[in-house]
Amino acid sequence: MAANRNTKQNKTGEVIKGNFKNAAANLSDYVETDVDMNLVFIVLFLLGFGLLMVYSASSYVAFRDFGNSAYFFKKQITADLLGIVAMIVTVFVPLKWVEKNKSTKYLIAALANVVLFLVIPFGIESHGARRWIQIPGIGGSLQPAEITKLLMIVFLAAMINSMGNAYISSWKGFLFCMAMASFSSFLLYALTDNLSSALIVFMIAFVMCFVASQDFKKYILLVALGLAAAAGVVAYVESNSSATEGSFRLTRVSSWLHPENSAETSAHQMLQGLYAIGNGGWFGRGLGQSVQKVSVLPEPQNDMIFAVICEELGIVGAISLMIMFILLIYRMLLIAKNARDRFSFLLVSGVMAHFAIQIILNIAVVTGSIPNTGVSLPFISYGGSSALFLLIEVGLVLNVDRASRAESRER
Amino acid sequence: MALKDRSSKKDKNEKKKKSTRGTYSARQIRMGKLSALFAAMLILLTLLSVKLVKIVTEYGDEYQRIVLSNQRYDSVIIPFRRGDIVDCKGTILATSEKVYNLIVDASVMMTYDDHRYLEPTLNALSACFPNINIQELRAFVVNNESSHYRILAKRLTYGEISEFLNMQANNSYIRGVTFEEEYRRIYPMGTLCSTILGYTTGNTNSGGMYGLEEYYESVLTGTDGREYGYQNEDATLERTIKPAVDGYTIHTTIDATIQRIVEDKLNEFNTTYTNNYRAGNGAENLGCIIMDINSGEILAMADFPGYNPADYMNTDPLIGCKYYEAVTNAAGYIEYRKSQDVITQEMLDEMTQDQINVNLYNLWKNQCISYTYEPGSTAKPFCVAAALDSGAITGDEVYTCNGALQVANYYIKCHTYESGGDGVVTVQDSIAWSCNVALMKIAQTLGAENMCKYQRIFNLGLKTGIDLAGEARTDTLVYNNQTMGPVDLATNSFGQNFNATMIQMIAGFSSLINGGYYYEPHLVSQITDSTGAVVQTIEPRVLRQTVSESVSERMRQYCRATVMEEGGSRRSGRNARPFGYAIGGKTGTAQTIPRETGQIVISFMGFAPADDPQIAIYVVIDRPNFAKQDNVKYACLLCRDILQEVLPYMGIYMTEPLSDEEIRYLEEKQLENTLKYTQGTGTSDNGSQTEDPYEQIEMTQITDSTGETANVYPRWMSYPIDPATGYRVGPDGTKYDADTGELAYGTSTILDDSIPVNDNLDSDTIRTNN
Repeated sequence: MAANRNTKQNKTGEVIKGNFKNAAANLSDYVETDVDMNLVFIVLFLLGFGLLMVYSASSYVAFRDFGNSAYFFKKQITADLLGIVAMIVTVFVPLKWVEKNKSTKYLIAALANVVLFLVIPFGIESHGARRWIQIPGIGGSLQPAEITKLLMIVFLAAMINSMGNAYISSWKGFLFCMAMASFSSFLLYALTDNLSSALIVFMIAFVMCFVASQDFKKYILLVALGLAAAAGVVAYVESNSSATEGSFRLTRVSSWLHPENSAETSAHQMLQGLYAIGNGGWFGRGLGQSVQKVSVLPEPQNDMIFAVICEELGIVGAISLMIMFILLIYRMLLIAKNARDRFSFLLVSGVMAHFAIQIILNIAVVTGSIPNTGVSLPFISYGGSSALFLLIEVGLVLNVDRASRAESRER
Repeated sequence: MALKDRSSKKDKNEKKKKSTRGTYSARQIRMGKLSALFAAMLILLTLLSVKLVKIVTEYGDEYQRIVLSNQRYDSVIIPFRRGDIVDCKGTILATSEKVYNLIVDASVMMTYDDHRYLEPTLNALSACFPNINIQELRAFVVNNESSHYRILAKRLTYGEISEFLNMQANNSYIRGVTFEEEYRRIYPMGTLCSTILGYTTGNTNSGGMYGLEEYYESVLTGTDGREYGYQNEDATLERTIKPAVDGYTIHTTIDATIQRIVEDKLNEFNTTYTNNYRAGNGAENLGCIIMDINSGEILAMADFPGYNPADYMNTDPLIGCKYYEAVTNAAGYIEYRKSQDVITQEMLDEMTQDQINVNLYNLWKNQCISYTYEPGSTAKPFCVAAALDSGAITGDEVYTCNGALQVANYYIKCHTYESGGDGVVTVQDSIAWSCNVALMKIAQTLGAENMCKYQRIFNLGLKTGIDLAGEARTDTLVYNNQTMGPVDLATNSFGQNFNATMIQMIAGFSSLINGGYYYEPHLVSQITDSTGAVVQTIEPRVLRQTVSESVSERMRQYCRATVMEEGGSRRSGRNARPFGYAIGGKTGTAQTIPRETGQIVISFMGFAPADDPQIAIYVVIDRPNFAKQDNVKYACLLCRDILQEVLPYMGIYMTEPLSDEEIRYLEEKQLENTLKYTQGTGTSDNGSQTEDPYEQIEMTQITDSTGETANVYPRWMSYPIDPATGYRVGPDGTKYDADTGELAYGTSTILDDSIPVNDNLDSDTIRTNN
């Protein structure tokens, strides 16, 4: 028995070795958990930091509009706690049935699309779009786009896994997966007017196909084409300013290119974010000292929370946060590496892609590198649905990790 | 690594395909691609970090500047509270009340696309504030989404907004309404003390006008506090609250009860005589001052008409006053000149605001300190005291009055001219009977130089320094050594041909009575801060010794004789004595300019009690609304009525016996009879000796002047009434009051227009060039 335990410890120790020599790792070693505690601690840290920043960014607005400075904070902490419970449950859900039964994945795909239709009867209109559905009885609301993202990751992982390497590497397999994803993207855009979520689903599918397939060429070609198309849009907007009228997407492109021309309207948020970064400087104004969050920056706790972080904690704080995100992705990368099968690997890849895409897009928007798309920063931005389903995605990753550890222990 | 091992063992299928894809397994390719993506993410995040650094290093200063300049340093003013004005007992005469301005923030109401706050807020507003036009407000809010600040209603009391505050507390959808604090000046006693208090202009808690509010402006006002944001050395915005410093409270020497008695009596006089002879108020001016004779503290000071300081633009008090008009004089200055028209509501309706303002200026003035007039015979004690104090007379002199005295080329008459003069007059009689001829002779003995010197000693021609805004300058209204000729000396001796203010007269008179101490008249005894701590105590201030104690003693005696029995039947102030009390005093019947119109200022100046003077009182009735204005009795009676109530209130008990009629009178009027405290019984055992002022027919006067017995029915009653003047005229030309038989002091018989006067004396013209 004693020897057996020793070997187990050694194996776990090997996993840790060369990755982290921190307390979290030692704790993972000591407590003998079945999952990657590094990842758990990184997620918990990000959640805690997110709550802190949500409170800091929203307290003024919350007090002004609701008479309670902790209004957003309370809602967020509720969603976070709910999400942690969901995450733990997810860790122990057997995933085998998803890949075993052929029809299951189509059921998931159907669910991912059908859930979007719920906004028609149950939708709550806000900011000119019906993105939330009211959950009867609880009084809370849910963003079905987040469910779609999660289910599409699961579906694509199962779909690609069932295709086999050669098929997914062919144009046919690739296009089939992309068509499925595009359909969901279309629904996201058409039903919830949520272009950013549509793009994210599309991009996740693209990344998952890329990872699964055996060749590079068509992806390089497609990325090149995509960049050319983007450049074309930019050039079009540049040369033909009147064309942007009527389309708020094009207006956003235009205001991204020339924020000074439309300081009062669509570029306002972006410009104020840039001012916040500039005002923060290297070390920031100090926690809670943001000036821009006070009524100048609209909804500072949402998509622009990174600007508030920059203003309060400076570039040093912002880069530290980015490093935490890199560590998060890195832990997922390691779990993908150790995944016991192709489905698990693809599942983790999809989640990784989801996190990475949102992080990069959000920071790119805040720094004015791309037009405003309305992507939230995972675990940091205010948003209950986002936190809940991202935590379930982390639960999926930990599930994969748990399975691979269990398997390696058996050996 | 063990992991690699593990994975290679795991997927045997893929291991087989290794050969088809070269040296790498599909799994390795997948992992490699994922790692490549991770690397791409690292590169992208690095690029974004570079971008962040670039923003800070290249634009940091500029953006920081923009942020700071965007910052609204919306420092909020925290208003100070203007200090209270209280009377000597702590009764609040003026105070400040917190009021609220209703501010609407349209941008808050329009938050969210569904405008969820708009209707609940508007509904609550319409429920609590019926005066607000909700339709108009809705239109404003919807059309001005970016508006943060609009004052919807001003100066609401807490009671008016409390209902809304309750609704706001219970409904989180009521938003976008805030209340801004402000102070409102309130005068709980209404018009009481208006002439002393003044008012505060407009809607602020500063800007005192007239009276105490103006004089003590710097004491009553505090310093506004501020809640403001500022940048510290790290360019961080910080919020700081600097609390407001409230104004100081001033404690006046006014006694609201005495003030109330005085104002009631003035109002009563006015009500009684309004439209009596001519249209308009009971008199053109009514004034009364009561002063602590031993400290210069003003106990009451009132003029009529008063006004409500809280509603100082109200023109109602002007009705019945003489109309002032703006006239450009010969020198090119604008003067405000009193016309003969009486203001009516119809006139007010037609008047321009400028014309109304001219008349309001006059209303707001404190006539007790701003209005100058020829004091008349109340100046006689000053002249006699000067003569005694300088040694010009000893007090034992005896003068003969034949009814007139020739001075230079003028023949200046006594008021007894018609009846042949006062005959033999002692110094005491000269005051008690108010004999002009004797006074002129005393003045001649005194000499012009001493006369002028003593006038300055009595502060005539100088400001008294009372702590009220608007005291008149009188330096040009008196003579000096160079300008005073023999005729001026003669007329000055009985109070004509120079102007004074009421406060000058009573302050000087007090010094004659109290042993010669000239106290600076003052109204404020103490200043405390908002916590009640004493900031300053203002002690009575003796400016100078005017006359010696022995002269003062004589003056008390002479003035007592003017009112009390020892002055004989001809004593001029007999009607001024309140029942049960002994007082001293001096009457005044002064002609105004122009002389021949018969416009008179009647007055009585006295002190009480006669043996232990505590208060001085001065009552002035400027041009009473009578056919015959020269009847000083009305000033005396007004004074008596006031003292009859004030003396018992002050705890001064009666010392003199009361007649049955007097007791009846007191009981009828429900006035206090304090005689029982001093003599054990309220009944007089000597009623027949007491003169009854309400007995209009004074038989003794006739018997004295004719030498016949008292039992004879008064002879004057048989004399015919002259329809032109309304007097009964005797065979020798003496005029008698048709009803009372009092000798008429025909004004035209004293001074006529030919006797020169100081050019500046016209008190009905207010010069703007001062």
